[in-house]
Amino acid sequence: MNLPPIVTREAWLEARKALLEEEKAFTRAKDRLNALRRQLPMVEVTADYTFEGPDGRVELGELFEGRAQLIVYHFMFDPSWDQGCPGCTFLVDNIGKLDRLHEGNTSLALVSRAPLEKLERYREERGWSLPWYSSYGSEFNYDFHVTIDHSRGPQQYNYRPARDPSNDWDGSSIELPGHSVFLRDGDRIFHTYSTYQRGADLLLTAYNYLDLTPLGRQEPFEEEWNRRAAAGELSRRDRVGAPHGASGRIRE
Amino acid sequence: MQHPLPAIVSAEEWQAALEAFLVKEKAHTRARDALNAERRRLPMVKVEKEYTFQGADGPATLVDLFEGRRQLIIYHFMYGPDDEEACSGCSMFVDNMGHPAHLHARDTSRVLVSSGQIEKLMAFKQRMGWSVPWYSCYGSDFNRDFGVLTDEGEGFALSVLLHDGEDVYRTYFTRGRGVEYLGSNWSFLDVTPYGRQETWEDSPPGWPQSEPYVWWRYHDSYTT
Repeated sequence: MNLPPIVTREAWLEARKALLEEEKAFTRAKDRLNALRRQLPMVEVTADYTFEGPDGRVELGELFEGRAQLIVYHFMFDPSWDQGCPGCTFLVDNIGKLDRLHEGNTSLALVSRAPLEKLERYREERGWSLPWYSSYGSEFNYDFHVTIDHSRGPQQYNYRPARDPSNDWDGSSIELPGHSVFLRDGDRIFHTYSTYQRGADLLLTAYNYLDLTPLGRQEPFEEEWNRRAAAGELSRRDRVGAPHGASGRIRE
Repeated sequence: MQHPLPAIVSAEEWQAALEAFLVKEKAHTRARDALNAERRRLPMVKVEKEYTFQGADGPATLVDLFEGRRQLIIYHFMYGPDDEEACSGCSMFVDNMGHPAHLHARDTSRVLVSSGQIEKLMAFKQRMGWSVPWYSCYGSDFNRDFGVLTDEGEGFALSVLLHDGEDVYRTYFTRGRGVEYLGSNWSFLDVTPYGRQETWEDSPPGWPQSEPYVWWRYHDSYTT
């Protein structure tokens, strides 16, 4: 097995402290990014969406469970499937207890397009307890760009035109992952934010743990970064994330 | 609601604002990839000393904590011999730990180590309903040698170790906000319009905020 270089405690400390400077700069960059997110405007949700939940039919407002903010994870579960998406399953396995989110006046719920019985069965199998609603028969998934169906005209995913799913598989539509955030003010509901794909990276705690280990996530996309780090090709800009700095050449 | 709201705009305007912001988020994700690549190139130090821990099943060595896997992540949980209560921030951190199977699939174990006596740790673990392995380093030099116990007292921290044959190496150590990415609670609140609702955050005027560190409770002790 290939090992990192073995050095003295003093040499390790020197290398560790050099990385710490970069890590701190990155944390501050995240603080600035989060501050910008809190300045985003929002859009009123005017469509009526109904969902099927364990206690019967509910509207979007009820998913807040009385709290001011709601995070929906769009869990990929096509009505024709018997099992939920493995990647989404990984994501949900990473969700901890919700008490502290609730203390922050924030609810978290899963929404999928499969009928409720399928969701309930799968939830029981996985031993999960978080709220899961079915948007079967509703426009919710289409309006929030997580069910892509080109028969409904040009489709967007992650703020770009979406590929036609019929190129990839024989279904007429495809489910895709994402998080959407809502704010409630009395009876009015607003959509504040949606993020897709690697936007959920920070919510995947197992990845964040593996990122701290010498072997990392052990995924192929890391190789290019390894190579560039080894060749001394990473600039400070690459590491700290100047807003318009790094290009999308490594991983979407 | 007594707090102000973000600006309410049309779907088109919102989409444009979000797309401009997305460019910055993507740059941030790539920057993290680059930072992580550098971390994977850090050197490491051999652990020369023998340490004995107490676990649920009796005494254990540092190698035992790896449970046969190649990598080990230790969260240094603040619960010392004289502490009447476990640290509430550390408890929130453990509440955010997901199912360990995904880490195990990458040959990586995750455990807690505290300097309090094992009986105390086990009692609190049961109350919290946690399943993560928890070891006591009571009476050993472990916390001092690993920089967790200093003259200022005991802190929370995270250590990463690698195991090769009989040898164990320290590869990484972090504390303070270095563990922030592992607390998914913060990450979830970060995507909401009101954020973590803490006073240090740069938010629009009037946003709900309270002091950090003090609003956390044990998950069975919130009133809301």
